[in-house]
Amino acid sequence: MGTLFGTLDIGRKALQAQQLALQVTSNNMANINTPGYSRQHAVFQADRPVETGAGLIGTGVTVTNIESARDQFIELRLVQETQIRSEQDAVFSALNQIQEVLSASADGLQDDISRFFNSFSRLANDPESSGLRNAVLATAQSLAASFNSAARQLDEVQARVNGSIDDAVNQVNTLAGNIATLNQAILAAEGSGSEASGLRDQRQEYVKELSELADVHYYEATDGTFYVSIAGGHSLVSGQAVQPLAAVPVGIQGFFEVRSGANNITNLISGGAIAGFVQIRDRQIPDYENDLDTLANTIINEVNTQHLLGTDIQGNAGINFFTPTPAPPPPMVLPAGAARNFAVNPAILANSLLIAAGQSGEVGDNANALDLASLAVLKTLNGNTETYAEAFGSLQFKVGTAAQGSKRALDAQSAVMVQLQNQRDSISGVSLDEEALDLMRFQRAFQAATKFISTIDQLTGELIATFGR
Amino acid sequence: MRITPTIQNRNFLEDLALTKARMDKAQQQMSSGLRVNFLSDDPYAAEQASEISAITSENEEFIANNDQLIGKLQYLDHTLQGFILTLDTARTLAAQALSGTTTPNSRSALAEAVDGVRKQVLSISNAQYNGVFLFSGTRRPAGDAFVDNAPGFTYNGNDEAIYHRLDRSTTVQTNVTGQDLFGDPPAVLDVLDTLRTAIQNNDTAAIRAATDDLEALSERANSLAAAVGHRIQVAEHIQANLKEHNLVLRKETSRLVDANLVESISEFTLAEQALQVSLNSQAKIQQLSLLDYLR
Repeated sequence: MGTLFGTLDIGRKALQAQQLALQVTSNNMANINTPGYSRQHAVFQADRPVETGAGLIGTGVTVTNIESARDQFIELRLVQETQIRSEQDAVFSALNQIQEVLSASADGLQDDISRFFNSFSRLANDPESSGLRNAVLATAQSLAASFNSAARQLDEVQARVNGSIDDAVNQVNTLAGNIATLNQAILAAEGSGSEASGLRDQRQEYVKELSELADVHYYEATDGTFYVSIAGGHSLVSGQAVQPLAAVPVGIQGFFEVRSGANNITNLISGGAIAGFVQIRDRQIPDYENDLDTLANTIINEVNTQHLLGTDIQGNAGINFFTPTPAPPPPMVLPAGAARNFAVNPAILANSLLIAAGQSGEVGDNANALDLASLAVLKTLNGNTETYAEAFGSLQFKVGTAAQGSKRALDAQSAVMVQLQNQRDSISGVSLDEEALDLMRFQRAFQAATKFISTIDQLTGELIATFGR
Repeated sequence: MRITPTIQNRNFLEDLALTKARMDKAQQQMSSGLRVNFLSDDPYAAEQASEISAITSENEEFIANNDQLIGKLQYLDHTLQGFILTLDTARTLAAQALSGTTTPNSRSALAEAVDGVRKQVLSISNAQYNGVFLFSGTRRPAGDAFVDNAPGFTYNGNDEAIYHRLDRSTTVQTNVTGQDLFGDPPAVLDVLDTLRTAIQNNDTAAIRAATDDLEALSERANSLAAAVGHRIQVAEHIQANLKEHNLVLRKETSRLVDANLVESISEFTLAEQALQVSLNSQAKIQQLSLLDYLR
């Protein structure tokens, strides 16, 4: 049979439970803007009833646990989709810079190519004119500068992206360390059986940040710790231990190779910003550079070949107009760096009379100038299907299409991410309206418990007053 | 679905970003006048415009060159006409010498007149355009192209033709060599020398022979002048075509990359309205919270 003091204890437990629930509510409201925070709620449970003569009667309430509202499946999808979005973001950001380099601006490479060959056409009108000869040299220098500049800017984008790989690897290691530390903290905190919600939220947020950098796979062990791997199975975090990655510069360009232990995993990373950086650095920029070098090398070779067939103003045999690109070591076919090293022959630059406008040695002969000008309309590139202008247009198309596709994919992926984040927040996010209602609910319950204790106290007082004389 | 303030804020920000991106794009189109500001805006149009720009630039160069070439050809034609008239004068003098009424004094005057014609021909043979001999081929002699060694002459040029391209596919010869006009047998100065001597000697047979030679020379000059005239026509025709072609190319470039300003302004206005509505509605939604009703 219950006693008044026993009943008073029910009031005490009710006060404690509502107070705890109010604390959870205030914590939810405080963390409404905390990234990755999952709203919590107090789990109330009726205490074990006791036998009275009239039957079983409850003994109050206890908060047995503080639980977080979390959907593991959505969290996992968020991590997966974040990898894709970050990779696309990295690719688009670089392509955006590249398309600026090869844009169709008025002072672009395309115009310089036209101006250079047009200058030979003009020289043909008056082959002995020193003014027109100097004009040819000026346009040749502009053309060289444009090729040099385009190649240098592509190199700069490549170097920046390469540096980003190093930064990203450092970030991966920092985040891996944080996850391992949290694994340890969660293990210690949950040893007593209660859920370390805040720590789990924080850890999940770190995993999400990690997924922005690389393809992350993770699972939760029975003890609550996370095991994280990247690049298709290379362990990064095992419980409380970290196997850090290393960014090792390789070759004369100092391109960073990502290593896990002794393994080179650079090309195994299939998601996140690092995958995007590697794709841009190792595949797309070299592809564009290759096209640019092919164009530069073809112009150098064909102009030189034609120039060698001519005679200068003094009747001497023509010399190379541009500095020839050194032949590549076998088995390479295309000389790399043709655009980067594109330069007018210094001898011609110093003496415009060496321009071979004629073919007979006569001063007024313009035959070679005409042939040089007509190179612009010959289809000698891409399997003899494109002129220089068309080949450069194709390169612009290639870059433009890649940037456009990348932007569209990024936009679509961003929309997917918003939907997923909304889904996550609809489960785990804090609603101020809900919390306000909870606040009222627990406040009323607390007030009721206070009133109840006051009533019992009053009853106890009356008993003491009646029987205590 | 539970809607939390974070969801509302996120959706609002996403919508805001999309609307501002629309406004930014429309504004860029209005300020630049271009629909294609980056390669990725329309890669195909950017590629086509880039290639068209190369062709337009090449055409402009042809047009500028052709203006000069037409000028040169017209001057050449004018000089040839002058030469033909000079030959006609020589033939008239020869006819007078053959009239049978000549006296030693008149023959002497006619011979002097022929000498004057010879000087005119020599002057024509050394005609220059922009400081370059018209009839010296590709050679640029330090002195005259034709040097008088009366009787006879020395030709310091060569018989190389000079060609120019009027467009991608049409090449024309833009000179007449001295060899063609004056030097091939019968050489004009030699014929005039012969005529003068024949008139002085009243050698009618030689005068007749010289007259025949002058006629042959005149025919050749007329034929060369006709060829030059034809080249001028071709050049002017191509010039007109090039200008027309560039006009078409500019229209095509405009179609490919220029912004439709009406569309851009309309798009900007729509986006601006959407932005205002979005901002107003969000400001109202943000004010409402159950917490405001708690006492």
